[in-house]
Amino acid sequence: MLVKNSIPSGSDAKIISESLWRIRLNLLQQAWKNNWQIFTEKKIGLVGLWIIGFFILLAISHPILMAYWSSQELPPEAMMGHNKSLADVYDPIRGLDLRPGKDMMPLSHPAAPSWRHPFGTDPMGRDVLSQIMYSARIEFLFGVFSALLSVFLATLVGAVSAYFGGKIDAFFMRLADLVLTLPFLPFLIFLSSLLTLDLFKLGLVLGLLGGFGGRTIVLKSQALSIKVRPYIEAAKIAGGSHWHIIFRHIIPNILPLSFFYLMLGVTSAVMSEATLSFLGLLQAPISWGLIMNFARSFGYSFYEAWWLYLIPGVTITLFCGSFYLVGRGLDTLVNPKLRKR
Amino acid sequence: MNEPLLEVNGLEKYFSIKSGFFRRELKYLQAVDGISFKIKRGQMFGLVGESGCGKTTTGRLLVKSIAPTAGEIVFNGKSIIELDDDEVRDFRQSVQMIFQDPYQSLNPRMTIFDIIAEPLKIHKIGAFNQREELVAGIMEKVGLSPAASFIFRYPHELSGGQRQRVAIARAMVIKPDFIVADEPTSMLDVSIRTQVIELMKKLQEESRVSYLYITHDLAVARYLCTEIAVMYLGKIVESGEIEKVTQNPAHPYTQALISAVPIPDPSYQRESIAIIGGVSKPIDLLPRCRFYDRCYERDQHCQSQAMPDLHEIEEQHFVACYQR
Repeated sequence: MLVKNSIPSGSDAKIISESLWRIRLNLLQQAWKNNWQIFTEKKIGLVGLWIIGFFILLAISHPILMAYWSSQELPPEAMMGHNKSLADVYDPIRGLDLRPGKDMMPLSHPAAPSWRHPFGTDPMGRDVLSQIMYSARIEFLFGVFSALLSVFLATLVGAVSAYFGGKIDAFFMRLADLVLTLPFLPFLIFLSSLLTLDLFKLGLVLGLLGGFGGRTIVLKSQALSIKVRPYIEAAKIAGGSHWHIIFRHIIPNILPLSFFYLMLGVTSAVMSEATLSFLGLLQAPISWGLIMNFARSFGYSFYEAWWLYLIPGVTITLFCGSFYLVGRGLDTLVNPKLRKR
Repeated sequence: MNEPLLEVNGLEKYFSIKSGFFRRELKYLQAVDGISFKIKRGQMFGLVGESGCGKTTTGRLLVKSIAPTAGEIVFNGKSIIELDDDEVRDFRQSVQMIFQDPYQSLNPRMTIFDIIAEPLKIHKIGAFNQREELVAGIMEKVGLSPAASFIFRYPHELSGGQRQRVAIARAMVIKPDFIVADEPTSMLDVSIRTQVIELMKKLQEESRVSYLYITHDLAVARYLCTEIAVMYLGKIVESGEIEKVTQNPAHPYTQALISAVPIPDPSYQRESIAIIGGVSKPIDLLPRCRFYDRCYERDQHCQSQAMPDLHEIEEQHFVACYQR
């Protein structure tokens, strides 16, 4: 990897003493450091990252907690029904707490927050904290999958239609208009009547709708401004193919904006998911929206079981908000006008 | 040495301007309107003219970045208008362009190595570590030394002059036969400009590449080029050997241009020629001399006749004017 002294034409060529990949690595590190500095200049993105970190901890610690709970065997007098260990009590989907309280009377469900159930229990006697933690992992997978799909599509379609223009552009832009004018929620309700809408299918649908919708138009307009730069013409004159120019020149230059939309994409996907599961249109074992849906379908109002509405509601808001905040933090990276310097 | 590398015959480029209610094509902007010239191997050919006269369009036509409306471009004995895919690839390998604005012509997300190595990558020249040597070598040549301290920087970390050196290195790295340099020094600081001009002269003498050097600066053209063509509104009004054109300008426009070049000696009095008005747009022009509206030597004959053709007034000196 060393550039040797044997450069044929340049007699004054110097040896590059350090190996080139090391220089490259150092510069990459430097770039990360600089970007991190700009990102942390505004605390808004940092707050978002902290909240995301907290949710990651929640998501990771749930299986660990479950393993710990299954090792905690219940004393025989507390073994009611099939409950053999704490895991059966705290299971987010099949759990049911039948253990008697201090007064030797079984808990009546839904139970208000207590030491035993910090976030209370739902009408079917399941621990809400465990449900929230279990759902966090699913929401992460779902949100990131859907956002990645939509941003991947939007970036590619935006770059392609900006670069080629003409009929390809017209087709994708009319498609985007169609997606934009689509009544979103009624369409999803209609879709859930056609097929059993599970999280994967919903992620796919949201990803496709986002990928061909409004984000495409924004990314295309960005790509249009890149397309006319002289370095695109230079690449063309050097003999670069269409795909070379799209992947090496246009997409890297709209990627920062794509990252911004990735964050917003997670927010909007999780929000749509929460709405659909609250309406009971989603086929999922448990999710934050479903906790509220259960409370409602069992007939509990906010006054009777506030924790079943407040806690998932706050969780959804925090989760969506955190990605939005990181997106805003990335905005300062994308848009130098927002920087303090 | 004397057979032409590039021959341009009656080259035209019209841009259509859509206007009106139904955006029908109503007008044409005659950016390049029937120009002919020859560039020899190893020659630096100057193309001079003011802004908007079609210099850059000519350059872009020659590198096949845009397609001409009419006319012929013969490169290495082959017309470049209709080439098959393989021939286009060969052509792309033998022709490069240096752009005017070094701030816009380098991709901000690529390192200097990636920028210079891009033509190598496209044409699959050299293995990966050979490319590093090639790039480092050419960087030393264009004065970006030590190469190690520049090779993985980004364009925004470089000054304007350094960026233009990168652009030159990029154009030179695949050893083309012909380079179009589109005002490579006009965006640079005066102090840097001389260095870059010197560099280009040195590289040209070493590599014997042919250049089309587009500029609005007659002094630079005189320093670098052996032959020159003066353009006005899409037409060549005067061409020939550089000394003949600059020492003995025949066309009123060239005379005016030369009288506008600053003279270092303040006590020297030169007859200054004032031409009337400003440059107009070459849209749907009247079929007469392009320079008629601004000319100070026009007469009845000029008004009624078509655009004059280039004719030889002395050996290797052509002018398009009825008065000569």
